[in-house]
Amino acid sequence: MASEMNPKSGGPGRSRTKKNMQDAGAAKLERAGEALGRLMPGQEPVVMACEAFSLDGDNRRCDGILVLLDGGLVSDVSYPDNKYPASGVFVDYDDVEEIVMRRDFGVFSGEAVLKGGGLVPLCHETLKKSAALVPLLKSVERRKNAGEERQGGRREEPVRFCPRCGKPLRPGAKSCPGCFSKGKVFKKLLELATPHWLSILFIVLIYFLLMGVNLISPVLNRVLVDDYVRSEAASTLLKSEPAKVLLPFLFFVLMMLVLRVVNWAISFLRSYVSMKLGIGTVVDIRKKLFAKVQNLSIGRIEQKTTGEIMVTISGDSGQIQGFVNNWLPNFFQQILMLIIISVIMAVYDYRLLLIFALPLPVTIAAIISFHKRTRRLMGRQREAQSGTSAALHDILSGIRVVKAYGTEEKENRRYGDTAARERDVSVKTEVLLAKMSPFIRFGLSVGSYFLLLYTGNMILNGTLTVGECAMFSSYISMIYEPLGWLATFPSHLLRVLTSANRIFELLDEEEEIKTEQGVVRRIDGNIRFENVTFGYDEMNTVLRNISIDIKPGEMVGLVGKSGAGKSTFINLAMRLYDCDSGRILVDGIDIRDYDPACLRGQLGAVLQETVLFSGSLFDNLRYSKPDATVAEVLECSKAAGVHDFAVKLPDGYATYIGEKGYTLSGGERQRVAIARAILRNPAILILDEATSSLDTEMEKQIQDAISILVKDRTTIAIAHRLSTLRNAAKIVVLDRKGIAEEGTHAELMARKGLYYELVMAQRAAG
Amino acid sequence: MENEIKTTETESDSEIREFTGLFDRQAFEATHVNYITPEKCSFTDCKGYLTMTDKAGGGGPERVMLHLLFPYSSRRTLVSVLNGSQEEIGLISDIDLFEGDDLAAIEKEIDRKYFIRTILKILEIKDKNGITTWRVEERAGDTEDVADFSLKDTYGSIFKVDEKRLLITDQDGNRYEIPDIGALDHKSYRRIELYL
Repeated sequence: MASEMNPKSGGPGRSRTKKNMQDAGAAKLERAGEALGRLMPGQEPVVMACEAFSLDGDNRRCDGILVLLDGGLVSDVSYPDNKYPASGVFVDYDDVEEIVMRRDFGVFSGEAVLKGGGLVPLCHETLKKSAALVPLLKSVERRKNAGEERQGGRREEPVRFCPRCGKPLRPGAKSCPGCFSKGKVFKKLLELATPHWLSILFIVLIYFLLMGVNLISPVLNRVLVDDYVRSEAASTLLKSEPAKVLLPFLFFVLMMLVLRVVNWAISFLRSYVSMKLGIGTVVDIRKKLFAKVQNLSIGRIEQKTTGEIMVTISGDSGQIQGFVNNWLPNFFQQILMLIIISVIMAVYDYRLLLIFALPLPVTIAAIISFHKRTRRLMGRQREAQSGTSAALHDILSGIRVVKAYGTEEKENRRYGDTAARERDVSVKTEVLLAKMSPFIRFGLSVGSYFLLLYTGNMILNGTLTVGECAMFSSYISMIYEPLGWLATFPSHLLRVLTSANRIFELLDEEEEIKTEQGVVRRIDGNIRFENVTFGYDEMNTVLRNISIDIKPGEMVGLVGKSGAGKSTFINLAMRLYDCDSGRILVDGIDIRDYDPACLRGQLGAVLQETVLFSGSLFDNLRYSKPDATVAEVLECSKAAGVHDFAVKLPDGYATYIGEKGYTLSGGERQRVAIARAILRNPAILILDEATSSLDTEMEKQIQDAISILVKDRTTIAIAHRLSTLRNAAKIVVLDRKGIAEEGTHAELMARKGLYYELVMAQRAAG
Repeated sequence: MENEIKTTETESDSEIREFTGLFDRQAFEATHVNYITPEKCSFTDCKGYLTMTDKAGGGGPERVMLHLLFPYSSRRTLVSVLNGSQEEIGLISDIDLFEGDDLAAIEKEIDRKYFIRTILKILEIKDKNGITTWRVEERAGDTEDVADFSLKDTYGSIFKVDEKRLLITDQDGNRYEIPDIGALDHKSYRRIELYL
C-alpha cells in the first residue's frame, strides 16, 4: 500500500531527483511520527502507510497527515508557524461504517462515516494533489475488518509514481508516457530485434558491400580521367597503337558497368532481406500485442480507448518495422560511410577535410534548433490529424442520430472546423520546412564551394590532377547523404522510441486477473457473494457489501433502477472484473482460484448487445461451441427461433454476416445469442436483458425456450419486463446502497417495498 | 459437415434427442425437428413446381418449396421443405433416402432453384477503376456459351467455398461457380490468381 510516496505531496519544492523523493518520504514519516506522539503518547503503533494533505476543513493551508495504522487511522492537522492550534483524531477501523470520498468543484475531501452515526472529516486537498490520497482511503475499507482482509479482496497494488515527474502511474503501467527512459526503450527495442540478429547482420554486411562498391566508383573515375581523358601520353599512344589505349579504357568502362550491375543486384538483395525481416518482426510484435490484449482484464482494456489499442497494434508496430527494416542497418552504414570518407580525405590531404567541415558546426546547430521547432509543429499536426479522425469516427458512428435530428449542417461545420485546423497546422509545418530546407541544404553544401576554390588552386598549381578533383567531388557528394541522414536521425529515432514505448507499455502491462493454472472442475452452479464491494474506479463504489447465496439450479432475478449495479453484479459473477473487497465463491471455491478458461467455459451469457463476427450464420452460432455438430446447432436454432428466419435466407445457414454481408435485425441477433447460450449447455447462465430487442410475440416464444434452458441450471437474469422474472426462485432488488430487498415475487409484492413500486410503475406505463 | 446427420427411416425423433443429449423430453416441442422420410411423404414434379403428399396425414398433394440449409457445401443434405407461406414443414436430412420418382422430383426442384453457371475458361479480366469486367466461357444448364459480367468489389465477390471451389457473385447478383480452380487451364488460372 502506498509504499512509494508521492514526491509531489511530500512538502515544499517539487523535487524530481530520487534523493529528494526519499527526503519527501522521510519528511512524511517524520510528520506522522510527530502526530502519533501527540495523539497516542507512550504507544508505538506500526505505520502501514501515510500521506500528506495541505488543506483543512476551512480550506486553510496546513500540514496535514493521514496515517494508516494496524487497527485504525489517524488524521492530524498542524499549521505553519503554529498559526492555529494543531488537532488530530484517531478512528478505529471497527467503528467505520463507510469511507466517503468526494471530488467537488475544486477540492477533494475524505470522510469517515461512523457506525454509531456521526462523521469524521479525514482530509482535504486540492484536486491536483489528491491522487495519492484516494488509494489510501480506499484501503481503509479493506482494513476495517481484519478478517475480511484475510479472506482477501483485490490484491493491494502499491500506488506508484513516476520517479522523474512525480505523477501517479496508470494502474499496471511501469513507465510514465511523458518521461520514459529512452535508453531503456532502445535497449528493449534491440532485444526485440535480437532473434533476427542473423538477418540484421546480413543486411549490415550487404550495406557494407554496397558502400564498398560505391567507394570504388570515384577511384575508377579518377583513373579514367587522369590516365585516358586528360593524359597526353594516352593521346599520343592512341594515334600509334590505339589498341593499347582502347582496350584498357574499355576494360574500365566495363568495370563501371559491372559495378552498376553489382550495385543493382546488392540493392535488390538488401531490399528483399530488409522487407522480409521487417514484415516478420512486425507480425511477431502484432501477435504478441494481440495476445496480450486478449489476456488483459476488461478493466485494464477499458482504461484505453479502442483507437489507442488499434494505433499501438497497427501504427506503432509499423514504426518498429521501419526501424528494423531500414533505420537500424542504415545507421551503421551511414556512420561507417562518414568515417571512411573522412579518413580517405584526411589521409590524402587533411586540409581538404578541414575546409569541408568548417561550416558544419553552425549548420548542425541550425538543424537542431530547426528540428525543435518542426517537432513541436509536427506534434500539433499529429494532434490535429487525430482530432479530425476522432470527429469523423464520432459523426459516422452516430450517423443515425445525425439524420434523425437533421443536424447534417452542424456536423458538416464541426468536421470542417477540425479539418481546417489540420490544414492550418499542416500548411504552417510545410511552410517552415520549405523555408528552412534550402538554407540547411546550402549550409551542408557550403563547404564544397570552399573546397572547389581550394582544389581549383591546387589544379592550377599542379599539385592536384583533374581526376583527383573529380574523385573528391564524388566523395563530397557521397558524404552529404550520411550528414543529411544523421541530421534527421534524432527526430526519427524519437518517433520510433515513442512508438516502442507504447508497445512495451502494453506488453509489460500486468495482467490484473491472474491466468496461472487454477482449479479445473465441473461446476455444479452454487454461487455465493460474501460482502462483495466493487467500483469501476477508486472513487465510485457501485456494489457495496453484497452477500447472497444462489443454490445450484436456482434462477435469481436482479431488479433495480438504472445504475443500481445489476450489470456490474453479472460482470463480477463472470469474473470480468475482480471485486475490491469480499469474495465470490463458486461451489465453495473462490472465483479467483479457478482456471479462467475452466470457469468461463461453463458460463453461458446472453447480453444486452449481441456481437456477431464476420462469417457465416452457422459459424456465428457455433462460436460458443466450435465442435458442435450440425444436429446440435439445428436444435438450438429451433429452440431460439433462429431456424425460422434462417430457412428464409437464400443462402440458409451459409449466409455471410458481416460488414458487407447480410444484416440481422436486433431481434434476430438476440435469437442468435440465445441459440449460442443453449448450444453451450452451461452450468451457469447469465441473462442480461436477453429479450429486450424482441417484440411481444417473439419474446413469448423466446421465453418458452429460455424456460427450458434455465430448468435445473443456475441462472442470474436481468429483465426490463419484470413479469418475465415472476417464476424466479429469488428476486434480488438492488439499489445504490446494496441489496434493498430479497424474496420471491409474491413475497416482495406483499411487502410493498421497492419491487412493488417498480412493478406498479411498469403496469401503469402499460 | 453434411455427413454429421444420418437419419434413417427407422430412427425416431426420441433417438435424435438422445443423440444430441442437450434437452430432456419436456424440451422436445421447442426443439423438435420434423425429419421428412420416404415413409412419411412422397414428392411429385409438376413441371415447374413441386408437390408433397403427406402419407401419414392422408392429405392431398401440397405445393412445397425446397430450401438448402447449406447451399455452398451440399446440395443433397439438410433440405428444408417449406409450404406456400414459407413456413417449414420439415427437414430432409439426406435426399438419397428417397428413391425413384421422389428423388428425381426433389433433384429437379433443387436444380431449378439453385441454378448456377459453371465457368469453364476465363478469357479476359479487365480492371478499370476498381470494377472488373470478366469474359468467360461458361456452361449454363446444357449449353456452353461466352458470357460477360462485372464485379464491383472483386475481392469481396469471390468466395472460396473450399480449397478447390469458388463462387463468384456478379454485380447483378448472378452466381458463377468454378468447381475446381486447379482444373482451370494455365492462362485462366493466371488471370484469376491475382484476386484469390
